[in-house]
Amino acid sequence: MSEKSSLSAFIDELRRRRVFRVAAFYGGIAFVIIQIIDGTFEVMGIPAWVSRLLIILLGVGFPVAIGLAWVFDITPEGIVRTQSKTTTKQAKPLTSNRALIVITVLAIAFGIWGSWGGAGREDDPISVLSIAVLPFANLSDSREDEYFSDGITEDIMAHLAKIDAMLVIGRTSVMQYKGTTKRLRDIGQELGVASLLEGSIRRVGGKVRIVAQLIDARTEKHLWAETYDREVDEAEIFALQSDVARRIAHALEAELLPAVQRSMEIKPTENLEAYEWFLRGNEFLRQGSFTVAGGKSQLGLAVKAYQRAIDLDAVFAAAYARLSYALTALYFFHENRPPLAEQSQQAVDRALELNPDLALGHLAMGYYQNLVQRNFDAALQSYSRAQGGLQNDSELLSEIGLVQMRQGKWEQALSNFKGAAEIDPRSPAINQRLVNGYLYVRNYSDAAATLKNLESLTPDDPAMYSTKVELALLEKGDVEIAGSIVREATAYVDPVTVMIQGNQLIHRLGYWRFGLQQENIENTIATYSARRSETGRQKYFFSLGQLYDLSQQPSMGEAYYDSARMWLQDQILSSPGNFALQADLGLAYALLGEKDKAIEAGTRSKTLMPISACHW
Amino acid sequence: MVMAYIYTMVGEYEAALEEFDLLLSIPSHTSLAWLEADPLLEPMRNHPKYKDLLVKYAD
Repeated sequence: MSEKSSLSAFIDELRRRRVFRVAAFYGGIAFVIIQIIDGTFEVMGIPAWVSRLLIILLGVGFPVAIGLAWVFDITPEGIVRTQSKTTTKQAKPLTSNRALIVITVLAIAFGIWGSWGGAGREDDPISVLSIAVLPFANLSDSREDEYFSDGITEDIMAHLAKIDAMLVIGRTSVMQYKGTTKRLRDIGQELGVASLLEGSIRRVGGKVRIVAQLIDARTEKHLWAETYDREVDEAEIFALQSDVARRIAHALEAELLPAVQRSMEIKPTENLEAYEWFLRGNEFLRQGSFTVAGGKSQLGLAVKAYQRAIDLDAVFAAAYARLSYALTALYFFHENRPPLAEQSQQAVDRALELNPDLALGHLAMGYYQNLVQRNFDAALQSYSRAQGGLQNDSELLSEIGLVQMRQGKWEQALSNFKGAAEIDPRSPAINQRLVNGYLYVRNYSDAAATLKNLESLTPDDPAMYSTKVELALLEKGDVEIAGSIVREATAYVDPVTVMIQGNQLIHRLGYWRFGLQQENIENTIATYSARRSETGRQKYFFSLGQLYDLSQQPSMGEAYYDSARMWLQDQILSSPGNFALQADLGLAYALLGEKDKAIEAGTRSKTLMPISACHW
Repeated sequence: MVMAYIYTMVGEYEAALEEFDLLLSIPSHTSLAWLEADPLLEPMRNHPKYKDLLVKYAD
């Protein structure tokens, strides 16, 4: 007998035993029940586990119903066992047992698949304990108060992040919704959270009104709302922030451990004016981190704001910690001056002297140990201590990932970058670090996918296009594609800005050598010269040298390489142990054709920091 | 990576190739495609051991 006729006989048998009819009926009823559960249980406050149990029971019940339909039949005489169909001449029937096994296996598979989310479940499960704190609207007359409302928002986020198992979306991602007219349901979906907190702050004279509303991100229903009318003084403001966090935890049925409750009560300072300068400093620090244009001046303003906070409250530990962080960033990214590093160390030492458990203090210490001391083991230990008070903090996870990259712990580093991106999915800096990690491990497909996401977040970010160029060159060595990326970028950014970005050797040697800007070298030289303040000195000298070489003016090129050499030698006098300066000096000598000195400086750099000690 | 470029620029191609060999054997910001594309590395590409490197890391 052919397989086709055997199958046909089996289907006839299913039809005769009304299996199809029962399956359709059961499916219809189950669908209606699931819709009722989905639409009403949450609103009625029925716990989520009840819904899950009912759906699982429906899934398990399906194979049972199919099995019963096969075995029994409803007749005028009652429920009786279905008679086997007598053998026909055309087709040998499947035996009852064999058919029953097939049906049961199929049905169980379907039931399990359905109950585990394969059938009919459209969305991924989102943890109930996931929240995005949207920036509170500043309704005060003064735009100056923006830092105040943002600071309050951020402190509430920090309190909530302390709650075990609570996912609090990072600041960079939520700040993109400041002043948005998007529907809350859409925001919830984009950020992958179950709840949203939104609110407003109006400060008039010595009084402040804060309205906070907790909203179910799927139904847009209010879960909790409160209006606080308070005096603007440190006792009231800090108590209010922890009260909002506590109420949210209660509304979401999150467990608040006594230690967490206690940490929410801790006031960072007794001086509200000092606190306001601290908040201003935080705002400048954020603007100054991860940016090229303006980064230096914003970091300088952050340093001044934190110093002002410390002038007003000499025992303000968190202000010392953030001051150290800003000074380290200024030292590492902009001004390689040893006094900055010394001030940074003094500030972080003072922060931890005032409060040995201060998470921000350990974060600043880890940052200093990583970027100034290059002591990666110590940095990881400090970051580990910081995690005690900064749970689920995307900035901290991402910094841990950077240190692990330096140590060559690639899988751990990528895992931490991915974790950080989960908390702060719309953070360009974190996505950029993730791409860089993928480039190092030569996972170019994931690098491209992350870059695509990054491009949707920041289509006007020159660093993003620069990384796209790097990917095109690393993956395919395709100068044509790289050139087209630079040209496409002109719709959003100045291509020269794209060309002066870059994380690696490109800093010194530029994309120029790939001929990406050959068509108008003179113009590029003029534009770049006008924007020299946006880049580091050695990068500027090296790139100008390259550009003059390309424009067939070798003597000008040499003059710039020599400027790089002189500047580097001067820097090395005060920082003889800086391996990066030694490496660049070797490069300058190589470009000047001084072979022995080039190899000598390069070798010194390798001795100071061998690849085994620093992989990145 | 800087050392590999320094060696290439001063004409020490064998030493440069050793550096690139190490960089290609570990996660790093380089690849065969990059070596093939960068005009600064062109002189090194004529060295006989460069082809060995291409074979070693071709996949």
